[in-house]
Amino acid sequence: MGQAGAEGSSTITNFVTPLWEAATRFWDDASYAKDDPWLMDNYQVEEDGVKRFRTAAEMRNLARTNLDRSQHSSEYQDPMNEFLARAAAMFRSDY
Amino acid sequence: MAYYDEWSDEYKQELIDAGATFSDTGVPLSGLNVAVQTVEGAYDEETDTGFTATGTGSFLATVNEDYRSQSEATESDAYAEFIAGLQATERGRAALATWGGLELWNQQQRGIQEGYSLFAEDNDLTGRRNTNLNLNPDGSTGVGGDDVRAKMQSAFYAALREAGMDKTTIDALWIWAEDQWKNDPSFTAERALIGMYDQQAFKDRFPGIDQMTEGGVGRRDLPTPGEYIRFEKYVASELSRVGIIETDFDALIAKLFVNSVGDAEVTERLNTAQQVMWEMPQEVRDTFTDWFGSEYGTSITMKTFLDNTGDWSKIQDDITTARTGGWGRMVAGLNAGWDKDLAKKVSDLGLSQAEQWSRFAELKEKEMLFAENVDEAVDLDYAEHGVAAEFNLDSDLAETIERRATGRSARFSGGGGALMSGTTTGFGAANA
Repeated sequence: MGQAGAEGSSTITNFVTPLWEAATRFWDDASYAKDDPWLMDNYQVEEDGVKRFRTAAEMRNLARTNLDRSQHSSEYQDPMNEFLARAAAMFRSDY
Repeated sequence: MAYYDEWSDEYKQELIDAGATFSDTGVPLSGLNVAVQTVEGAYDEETDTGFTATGTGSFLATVNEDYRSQSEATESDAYAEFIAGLQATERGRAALATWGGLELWNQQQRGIQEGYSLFAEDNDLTGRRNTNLNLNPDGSTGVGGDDVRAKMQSAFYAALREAGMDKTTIDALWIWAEDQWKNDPSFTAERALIGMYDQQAFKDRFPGIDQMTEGGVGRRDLPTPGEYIRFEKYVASELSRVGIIETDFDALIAKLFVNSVGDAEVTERLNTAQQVMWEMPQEVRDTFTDWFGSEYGTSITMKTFLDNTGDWSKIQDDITTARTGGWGRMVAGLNAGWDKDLAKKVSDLGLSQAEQWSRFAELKEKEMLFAENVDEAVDLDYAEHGVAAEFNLDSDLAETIERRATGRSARFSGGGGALMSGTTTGFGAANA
């Protein structure tokens, strides 16, 4: 049955957990389950017809693109707040 | 000792005959459940004896603990619900196809033991967030429960709207910045602010800045949007003051920026234009149009002075020349021969309006001197020679005209042709 079996179970956990952590840490939100549909769709990537698990760095960059979730993170809010404030100042001519 | 070690060769052969397979060393490999069921008899509910082909009632469940526990799990209501939940969604079905139900179930059980729900809550198997663990700073729950993006975009809009920008432009700039953040992990606010100048929405709103950039003006020398907007407001106020309704305001502002026309010059230009158009005599306006109309367009308007991209000092020169020209026409009745070149020479003398008027008036009094008598050899032109003499542009001409005046005066004075000199009359008793 698929990758069922003792050996497959531990391997998948080992692969998925760091990716889940990379994404949820970026989002500042650990409430997303490991089987979250978006995560499930993106743990793996297909290259040249071969599926592989992403690296944590890749997962982090990919998590960034999910704006619905990233918007709650400091990664999003800090620079965007700065952009907002400085743009507002610039348009008030006191930049 | 393994359970099959006690089996006799005859019993093994029965099992083989029923479909089981064994290795060369006598280890059962497959088909054992069905074979035992056949040999020992199928499960009978009434007698509660025999074996099922699979699951907890099978032979293997009695001899293999792992198999028995997995069988118990897959036959439970929780597992059925778990699988049903996965099958209810496309993503769930994809997960099942990739990893299989049992593997996903096992992941679920290990996740729960480790303190997190691998597949979300037991009663929510489709991956919805566990709101009890939500870490949003404001305590909100669920995706979209608190739309930070919308709030920030709204704040951005409010800030820039006050600066006179329309919603379409503001939204376009925010979306661009957000897109930059999304696609560039090295995003910084500073870089975004600089990059904003290159966005089409920005260029459309601030064409002057765009044109200056295209013209090679460095970023440090470009006006900020705030400075641009402040200038727009200033020019709009000035136009309103002098009664100009500008239909292509954006283009005008861009042109003023590109030509480095600042606040003070805008006011100066408009004040001058106001003088020319409304405060100067018609003769002056007509003269300006006659002499410089080709340079400023066929119709001289106030906007002509503001919108003109030429050198402002040249425009001022032209206006001063036209003013002298108009006064010459008005006071001295100059026409033929009175052109902008000659008027400019007079204008360049820097005389006051009163002084110019006085001299034109004096010239007017001498106008008849320029209508030659039959005995006068020198042909003097009223405009060319009269102006040059009256404004001391040519001292010889002044003397010539003076001699003509003296000569004509002598004809009508006593003493029979005595010359006039100064304030005395040549000779005779009157001077005695």
